[in-house]
Formats: sequence, structure tokens, C-alpha cells
Amino acid sequence: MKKVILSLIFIFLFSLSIFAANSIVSVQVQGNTCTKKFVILNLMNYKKGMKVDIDKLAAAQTALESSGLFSNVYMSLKATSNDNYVLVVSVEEKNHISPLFDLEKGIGVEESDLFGFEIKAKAFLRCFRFSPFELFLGGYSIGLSSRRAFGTPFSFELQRSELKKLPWTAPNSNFQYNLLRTTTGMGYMLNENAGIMIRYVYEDISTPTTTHFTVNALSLEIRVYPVQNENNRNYTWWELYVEHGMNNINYTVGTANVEFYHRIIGQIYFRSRLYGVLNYGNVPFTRKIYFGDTYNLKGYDTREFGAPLMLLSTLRIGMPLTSTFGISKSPELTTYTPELISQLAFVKRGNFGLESFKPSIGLGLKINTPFGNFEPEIFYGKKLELYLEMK
Amino acid sequence: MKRSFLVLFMIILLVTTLTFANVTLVFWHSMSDYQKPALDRLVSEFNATHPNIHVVAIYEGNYDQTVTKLKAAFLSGNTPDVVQLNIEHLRIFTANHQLLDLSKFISEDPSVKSDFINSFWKTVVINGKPYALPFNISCLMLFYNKDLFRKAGLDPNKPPKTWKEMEKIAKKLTIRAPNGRIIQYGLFWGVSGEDTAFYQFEPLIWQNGGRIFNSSMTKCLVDQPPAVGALKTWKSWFKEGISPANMNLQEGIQAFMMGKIAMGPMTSGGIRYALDNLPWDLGVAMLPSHKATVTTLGGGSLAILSNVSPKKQKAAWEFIKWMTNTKNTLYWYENTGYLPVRKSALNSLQIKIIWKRFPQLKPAVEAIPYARPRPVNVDIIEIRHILFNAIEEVRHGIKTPEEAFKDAAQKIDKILKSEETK
Repeated sequence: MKKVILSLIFIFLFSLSIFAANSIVSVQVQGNTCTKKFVILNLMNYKKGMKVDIDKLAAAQTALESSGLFSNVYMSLKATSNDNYVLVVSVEEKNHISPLFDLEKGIGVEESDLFGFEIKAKAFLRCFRFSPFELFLGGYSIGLSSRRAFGTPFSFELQRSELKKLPWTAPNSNFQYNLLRTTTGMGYMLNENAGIMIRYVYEDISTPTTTHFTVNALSLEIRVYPVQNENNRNYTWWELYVEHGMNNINYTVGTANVEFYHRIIGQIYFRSRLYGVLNYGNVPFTRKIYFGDTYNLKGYDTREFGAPLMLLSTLRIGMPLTSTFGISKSPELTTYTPELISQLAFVKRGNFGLESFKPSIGLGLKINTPFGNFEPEIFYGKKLELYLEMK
Repeated sequence: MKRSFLVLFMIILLVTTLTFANVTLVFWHSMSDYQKPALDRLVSEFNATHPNIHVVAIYEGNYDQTVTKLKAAFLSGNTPDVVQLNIEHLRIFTANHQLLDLSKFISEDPSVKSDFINSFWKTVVINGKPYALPFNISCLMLFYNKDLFRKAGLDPNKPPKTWKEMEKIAKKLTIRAPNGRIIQYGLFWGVSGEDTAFYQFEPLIWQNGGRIFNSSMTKCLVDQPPAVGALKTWKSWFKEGISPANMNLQEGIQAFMMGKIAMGPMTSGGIRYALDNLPWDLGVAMLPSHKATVTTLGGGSLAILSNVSPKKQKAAWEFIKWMTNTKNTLYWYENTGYLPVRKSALNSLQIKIIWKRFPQLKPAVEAIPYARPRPVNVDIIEIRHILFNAIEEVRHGIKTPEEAFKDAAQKIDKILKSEETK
């Protein structure tokens, strides 16, 4: 009896909350030709009967804009006959199909809103190789991922790659290898800016010198996406990653990455990065973190450093310019951004000493093109190196 | 090679678009810098959602330059179809019937007129007829550096409300080095001398209970005590050392940006630019009052030229109506700081979301009831330069406030009289 009474009270209160005045009784979505309505409602964190609360609605709009699916979001209210409201959400969808290019994986295509479910799909065909240049069919790579699957806080990742004749370049070894890699991951968005993900990676590697070996690894990633401060001038974001090898190969790899952006005056900015690496145990070469590549220490040989403990700090000062080389007054007006870059790495090898520090300086130029950012950079560390990237 | 392909591709795209769009409208505007991307995006969205109309937006320089170019275009017969004109410049072209009277379209679509904010609508009505739609309307606001307020022990959320408070706060915010040199000024009431000349000085006359012209626009009243009093007060700010005397407007804005000046009047149309570029925490407030609470209403409107074909007129009306609809006026407001022009926008949910994101945009909307349109006249550009030169003579100590405004009023009265005899 008690349960029945409690249930009745609950139903009464619930209906009160739905039909209380000043509530949003339904949502009308306009402009979504691809993204499903329920995905939009999930992204907005809409609850039927929620009050007209500007804080929550502003957060809902920000969530839709930061999903990457829409270029413009507009909200309005339509009054109903009983002092409640219908929320009208007008969205403009972004183009969600784009071409991809990757030196390792080949050419591909990305669909960022597969079937309108907020799922990203990528497919690559490995059909060329540089140095020596060769056109050949060398495998494929396919993947599905979502930061907020169906607009919910759950993330997932599925990837399968079969890549042949991959070049391995390091100071004392050059060879080709075949790689079969499967990655599965599940995650959860703790809030709009923070997420956690657990992954399982399986790799099957064959090289000319060994028959083949397999890697089974479990990893944990915690990531805080860029968070803007109140005065619109600073962003901070960071990630922690730990991977542990299981079965036949025991190893642990860990990375910590913290980045900070600060707009000094106008659009002139500095951007700093602190990156720490731990390579512990018998880390397979495909899982080991090296310094000396495009993503970290530049101006040195490719994969020159693979020490158990390494730290890298990078500082970039950029001055955005317009197409006529005037000082840019907004990101939309920026075409060129020259950057002055300095790097200092600490590589623990043997005894601690000055030789453990590896500096480099560089000049970069970001060029905005309709296809993305083209970023040539020239660095001097151990030697002069030119880097070309498309982001 | 790639560049050539890209250019070729763009030309083919443009030609195809122009061929298949039934009507192509040439739209001249004065939005440069940070406002241009927002305007371009609106135009691009209009083109995407109106397959039968294609608008080509062309930047033609500032408001004054657009007037010169449009006059020249009428002489050469090579005019645009739609033009963004400063609301005070409309009369220059309506005098020769060069702008389309929009009464016909308004009568077919009466809800458009009733949704525009009344004081904004009045700025586009000349002799009872609407010649444009208000688009980028702004009012003059007090911009202040909240960080400097904090450093001086002042409450950053309590900007000055009166001239006296402003002078008192400006004194506190003026800092001298041990050698006596001023290293930070509390105030800079800079007045523009080029485009929109005299803009920042007008509210001082009104706030002091004065007027710049009589109601029939036949006599200049700056030689009267309220205007002369305002000029004396303005000069006293330089004399007392709370405002730099040797800076022009651009130099003053640079110094303000660098945190060397704490307060100053600026257009609400620059709020987003300031937020995106200043290296410190910006505060925006209503201009301080004196005998009256007033600010200046300025900005631009969208007009259709009277010489375009009926088909183009219809398309142009569709375009200017779309540019100023509730959704787009709010987009424009959020991305520039120009005021929303529709009543429906002021009552919308979206504006409350915008205020949540950019609280500095709210005071400009609150200032609308106190915003007074600038005086208009066919020779207004020349008249404003006379007024600006007068206050410059006072700033440089060439003339007293009485002499400067007396001479200016005489010159302006001559112009107004010659207009009567035309």
C-alpha cells in the first residue's frame, strides 16, 4: 500500500513538474537534414518539462556548437496556451564529408556524422609510399569513433588497419614491416570538457628480421579538452595516457601533455606545451614513444631519442596576419601566421648532465587554405630540418 | 599551377552562379575589418537559401567614402543595386530621388515596420517615407578598463554615472611617475575627425542640456551656453591632466588598448572587436549623465537605389528584409556589437543567451531609450568637419570655447541659409 501511495505521489509530482508553467514541454528542431533529432536533444541535455533556465539553455547551445556538427545554432521560444513553451532550435549543419591524407595510411575520406548519429567514420586506402615513391596497394584502415555517441556522454572507438611495407626509419635501423592493428575503446564524457577512455590494442607485426610478434595492450586516457577562461583570452587543455602491455611482452608507456594558449594583445599569442614520456620495460617499437619526429622534438634525426624518461617543452609565439599581410583583428581574417618556436628536451640517458638537454629553435608559417592549415616549419637543433604538415 | 587551377575553378563557379541565378544584386557596404566576415557570412547564407537571387557584396570604404563613390557612380551611370548608407547620409541621396521609397513594400508587409524599434525606424523615414531599413545601428558607450579599476581600488562593476563621478574616478586612475610625467590617464574623450566627424562630442552638448541645431535645422546652436559649457568642460579634462591633450583619436585608442588610458567613449559596434583583441578585462556602461541622460545613435542602413528594375527592386527588398530579420539581426549583434534592430529580437530567448556569453553587449541595449539620432542634413559631412575643427582649435589653445563655437555656428548658418535658397 505504502508503495502505491508513494508511486501516486511521485506521479503527481512528476506531472506537476511537466505541466508547471514556464516549462519547455517540447522541442522543435529545424534545419537538420542529417543529424537525428534525438541526437540533438541528447547533446542539449534536454529533459521534458525542464524550466526555461537561461544558464541551461546557454549551456545547451554551447554543447551543440562545440559538437562540431553545426556552424550556427539559434534558439527561440513559442508560447503555448497554458503558459508553457515549445523550444525551437534552428541549426545549420556543417559539411561532414571531408578528404583525408596520411603519409602512413594513404588517402581516405571522413564522414563526421554517420547516419546522423554523431559518429565519425574514417576509411583509408594505402596506395602510395614515399622514399622511394611507389604506387601500390598496401592495405587499408577503417574506423568508427564518437566523442558523444548518439549525443550521449558515452564514447567509443573501433579501428582496424592492415598496412603493408611500412617504412621504419631510426638512426641505426631502416626496414619495412607489415602491421595489423585492431583497437577497441569505450569512454565516458565526464562533462562537456573532460573525458575518460579505456582501450584495448592488438597488433600483429612482421619484420624482415623476426618472423612476427604480437602486442596486447590495455590503455587508459584522461583528457581535458580546451577550456576557455572568463575573459576569452586563455585556453588550457591536457591529457594523461598510460598503456600497459600484457601476455608475452610486458611494458608500460605513459605520456602527460599540458598545453596553454594565451592571447597577448590583438590576435598575437603564445602557446606553450609541456610533454612528458615514460618508456618502461621492453616496449615494442610500434608502441614506444620517440623524440625526433614531427609531433615532438624537431631539428634532430627521426626517432633519435627513445629513452625511458623524456621531457619536452615547446613555446610558440605567433602573430596572425591578414591576406594582405596586415595585422589580423579576428581569427576569420587570418590567412598567415608566422611563428617563432623554441624547444628544449630532456632525455635521460646515463648520468645527468648538460648533454641530457637537447635544444632547437624554429620558424613556422601557418597558411589558411580552403582545405585546412598548411604548415611549413624549419628547425635547427642538431641539424637544419624542414617539416611540412597539413592540419 | 595549383593557384591557376583554383582561380579558374573560382571563375567557373562564379560565372555558373551568376548565370543560373535569376537576379544578381550588387551590394556596396562599408564594413571592413572584423565586421566583414560576419557580413560576408550573412550574404553567403542569403545566397545559399535564395537560389534565384545572387548578391555580390563589395566593400567601398568607410561611410563618407561610400557617399563620394555613390555620387560618382550616379554620374557615370554605374550604380550598385543595394547600398549600406550611414543613417545621416540618406538625406544626401533622397534629395535627388536617388533612393527607392520603400512605402509600397512596407504596405504589402506591414509587420516589418511594426517590428523595428521605433527610434531606429525614425532614422530611415524622411518626409514621412521610409528609404531604407535600419541595419547596423550603434550607440556611444563608455568603455573602461576593469583591471585598472581593480588596481586603483575601485569597484570594476561600478562605472561612473555622472560627469562629476567620471572626473573623480579619472583623477584616481591618473598616475604620475616620480618625475611628474603622467604614465596613465584616467580618461580620453577622443573625437573623430574623419569618418563620422564630431560623433563623440554630440552627447556632451545634449547631456549639458543643449542642442546642436534648432528643430527645423535652419540654425546652428553651438554658440549657445550649453554647447559652449560642454566644450569648456571637455577642455578642462585636458587642463586638469586627466586626459591626454596631444593625442588624436587613433593614438588615444591605441593607448587605451595598451592599458595607458582607463576610460573613453566608443561605439557599441566595436564591443566584439574589443573583446577579441584587448589584453585586459573590458567594462561597458552607459555614458555618464549631466543635466540629461543621453547618448548618440548612429550607424548604417540598407537602401535600394531608385534606378533599379522592378524585378531587382523586389529581390533587393527580399535581401534587405532578410538581412534585418530577427535571427540575423541577433547574429549581427552577437558578432559585432551593433544593436539588434527588431523589437522581437529584444524580447527573444537568443538575446538572453547572448548576454550570458557576452555580458558587455547588454548595456548597449539598455541604452536604447536614451539614444538620440545624430542631426541630418544634405551638407552634414561639411558641417561636421566645421564643428570638429572648432573643438580642435580649442584643444590646441588657438581659440577660446566661446570664439570657436561662435565662428563655427556662423559658418554653418551660412551653409544652412544657402540650402534654403537652393
